[in-house]
Amino acid sequence: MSKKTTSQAGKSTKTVTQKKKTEEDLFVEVFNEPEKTDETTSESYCPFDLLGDDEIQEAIYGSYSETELQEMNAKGEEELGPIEESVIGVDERKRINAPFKFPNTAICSLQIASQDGKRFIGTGFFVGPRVVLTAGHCVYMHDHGGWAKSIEVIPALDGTTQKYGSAVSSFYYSLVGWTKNKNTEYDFAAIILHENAALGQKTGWFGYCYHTDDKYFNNLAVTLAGYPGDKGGSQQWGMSGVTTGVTNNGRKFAYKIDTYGGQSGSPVYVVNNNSYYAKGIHTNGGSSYNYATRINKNIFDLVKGYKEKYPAK
Amino acid sequence: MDVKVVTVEGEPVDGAVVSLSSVPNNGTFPEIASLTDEQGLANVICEYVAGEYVFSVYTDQYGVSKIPVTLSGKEEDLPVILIVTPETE
Repeated sequence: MSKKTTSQAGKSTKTVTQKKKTEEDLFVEVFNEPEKTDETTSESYCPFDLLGDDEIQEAIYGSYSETELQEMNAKGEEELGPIEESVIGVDERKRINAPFKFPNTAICSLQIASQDGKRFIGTGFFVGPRVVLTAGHCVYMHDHGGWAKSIEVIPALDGTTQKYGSAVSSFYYSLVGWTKNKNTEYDFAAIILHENAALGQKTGWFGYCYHTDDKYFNNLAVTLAGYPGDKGGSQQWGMSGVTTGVTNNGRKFAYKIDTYGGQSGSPVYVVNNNSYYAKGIHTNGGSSYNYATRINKNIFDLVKGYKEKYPAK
Repeated sequence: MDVKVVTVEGEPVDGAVVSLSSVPNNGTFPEIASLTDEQGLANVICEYVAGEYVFSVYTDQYGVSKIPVTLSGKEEDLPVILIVTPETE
């Protein structure tokens, strides 16, 4: 097995600082200037989406009371009907053999170590040379000491083959709606890799964009790929399907694409002119629908800010 | 929720990948998988309520096993024992 690990140590206290910083970053300006690309990268402006103003309300998520958040969640679930399993009907996932072709190169297995010594498997995806998006519950686990102790990011893991090596990080961002309120509507995070471990330069990265119209998600063709635990967590599997709508407050969207534990943090993406744009981050399973945290304007702005702040060396 | 993965002989399984495929009451669950330690122990992230769960356990030896478990709601402090066999898939 070829394995190359770059360690980023000593960041456990700094992550707390970064959580506070996230709140300030909510007001980062939006712009749609495309990043410089090369043959191995796909990037990230989405002009067809930059329409209108996606509400300043996105910036006040921390001000909802616990009761209000619970009510919003309850309404969202009722709207979308009963839910129980994450493989819906016949399992239609396909294995992505040798995932060394973009965009599958940009999808990563996450080997997560919590503060209390437990180990977990999740998925993430590059949106820049050093920025990996994932679910909030992959980096902040309320019942396991909060922020993960460390996460090893392994792009395009295929069995024991780590073609692009791996990088260990303990530097994350998440939303206080998740870290403080444990509200799945804010289940979102970014992992920042050390400047000496800009693996996204090798793998390429996803574009990302938002759309202000909720109806856009009523029948949107998307693809989801990640590292399901029922396949051992070391093989990339994926499936395409359509979205079925957003939850009542519009922060998540649903689909009938089959998933499994380990796929939290997978990109839910669309293809446009041979470019790949993440529309959401897979987070939850259910029987009738599975769910992603929607990339809204707020998250778009945050990610754009992370990319600017943490470029390749 | 704590789980313990063992073989039919009662031997703990290290490195098993445990995830949920079903929870009670039409609930949703975070799709993060858990790895067992040398004692076969892992913690599955979900809300603990009474009812029927279905766990998926992947081991190198047996592949994937789908294991239904019905909990009364009174076992919260005890690990749920998940027995893997070649026949449970």
